Amino acid sequence: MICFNSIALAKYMGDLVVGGVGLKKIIGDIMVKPSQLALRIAEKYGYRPYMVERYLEILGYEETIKLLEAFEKPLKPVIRCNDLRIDCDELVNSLEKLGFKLKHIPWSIHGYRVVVEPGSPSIGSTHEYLKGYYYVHRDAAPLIPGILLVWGGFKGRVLDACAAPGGKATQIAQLMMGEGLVVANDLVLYRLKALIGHVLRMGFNNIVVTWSDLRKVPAIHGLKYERILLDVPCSGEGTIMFDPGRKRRTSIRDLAGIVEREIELLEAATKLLKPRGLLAYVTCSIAPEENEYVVYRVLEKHPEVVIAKPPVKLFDWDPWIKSFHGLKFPREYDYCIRTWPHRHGLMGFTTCLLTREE
Amino acid sequence: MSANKRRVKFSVKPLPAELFRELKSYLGENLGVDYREFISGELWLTCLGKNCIIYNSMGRRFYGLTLLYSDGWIGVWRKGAVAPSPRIYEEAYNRYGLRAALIPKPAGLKAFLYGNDILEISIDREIPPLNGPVAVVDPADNRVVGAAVKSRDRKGRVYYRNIYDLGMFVREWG
Repeated sequence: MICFNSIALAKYMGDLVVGGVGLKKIIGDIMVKPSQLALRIAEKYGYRPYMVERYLEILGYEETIKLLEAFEKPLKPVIRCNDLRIDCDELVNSLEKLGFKLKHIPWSIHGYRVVVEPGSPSIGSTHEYLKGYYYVHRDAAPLIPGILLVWGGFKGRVLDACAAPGGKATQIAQLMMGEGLVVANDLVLYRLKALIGHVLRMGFNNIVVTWSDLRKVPAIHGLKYERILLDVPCSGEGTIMFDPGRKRRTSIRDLAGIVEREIELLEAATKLLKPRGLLAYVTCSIAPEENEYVVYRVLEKHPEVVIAKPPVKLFDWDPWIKSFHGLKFPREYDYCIRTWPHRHGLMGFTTCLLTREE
Repeated sequence: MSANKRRVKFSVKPLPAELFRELKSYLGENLGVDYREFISGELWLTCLGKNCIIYNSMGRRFYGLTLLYSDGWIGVWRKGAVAPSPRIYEEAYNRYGLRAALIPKPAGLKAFLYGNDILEISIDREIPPLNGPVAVVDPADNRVVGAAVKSRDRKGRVYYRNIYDLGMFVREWG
């Protein structure tokens, strides 16, 4: 018998040798001196000044204020109907009888925004939920990468490299209609139990759950993948409407550490990608440091990895930015995706599809 | 989140032979199916505390990665009983009809999905054999939502003891 303990794992993680770009260089690249205007706005809205400084750089004054105001407004949750277990119209009827009001997400077959909730039950405690008829997402934006990765009826082998708690892994398993195979991996054990719970509750038979550090996987794993979803652990800077504590949680030095880990994870994931396969790099952060900068550094080191055009444009999302802090990014960033709370009514979210050339 | 909530202990091991025998005999005698229709390869057990799930597996590792669960949920080992997964019950019922099942009244079903036992007053229909776990079936859509075992309380009243219900995966695994 083998036993795993998350505390022991944390100690083990401390022993990891980290490589990549190097923390010092990252700090040098991302450090900013906030302007007086950024300091004033940051104080008013309760943010760290470096965050506001870059909002001003990317969006200008008026849109920065719109963004900060949008972060003050909570978003309603989104459910993803599990049509392998229930007809979605039937599910909507059942929930509406309980007092919920749902609005279909036009670009997602299975997604519905919960626009009205009764006092009781909550959307996460109905019988329909317990019976696995739907999954509750914080927002619709996280549905984007799964749809893009398996667009066109893909039913092969998919690695969800940082999969817990399982929203995207179960979505992909569902979109492949119970066929193919999703390898749902994560490093954090207490989150993996939730993932297994969702897999069993929702009745998926095409998911394998593994517990490994992605950064070590290329050296030990004997498989390559046609599709990889890499939803990295990030600062969560796009989710301030759900967790206002994120306005001040991450110092710029903490952010540099997160960026370093993101570069390592993306580099490891690209090594597991088959030639001509698709990898979706995903964060729930609007910070260019965690998106444009991370991909830039990995592409720079791995010329065999290139940006891929999404197979479909689901709605009028924004591209990635083309320059930041004096760095010029590739024009293919036009293919990468950003959602902004004030422009799209979604959480701040990004994804970019990458492929490996033969 | 508290540190305690983050402290998780999984155990992963091959299904002990006595539990395999119990499952095999239940599938044959109570559900009337050949276990080989559902079980291929080795069976493994992943436990979160005392809640254990049984599944078809290729072993401890998946091409070098530490495996916690693989496709093919076979059953649950909990509260001293082995019970098949909803998928196995439903497939057996589709082929051979309803057996070893309990249809609760709406209030009983609701309580059951929140982890409670099913009291005699909440029993709508019992389908034998009833010696061993029975599937709890939602009459609204004929879906199996868990398993229970017929028991008697101190006063001799019949009730069905909850072995597992799908809500458990939200309450205890979520």
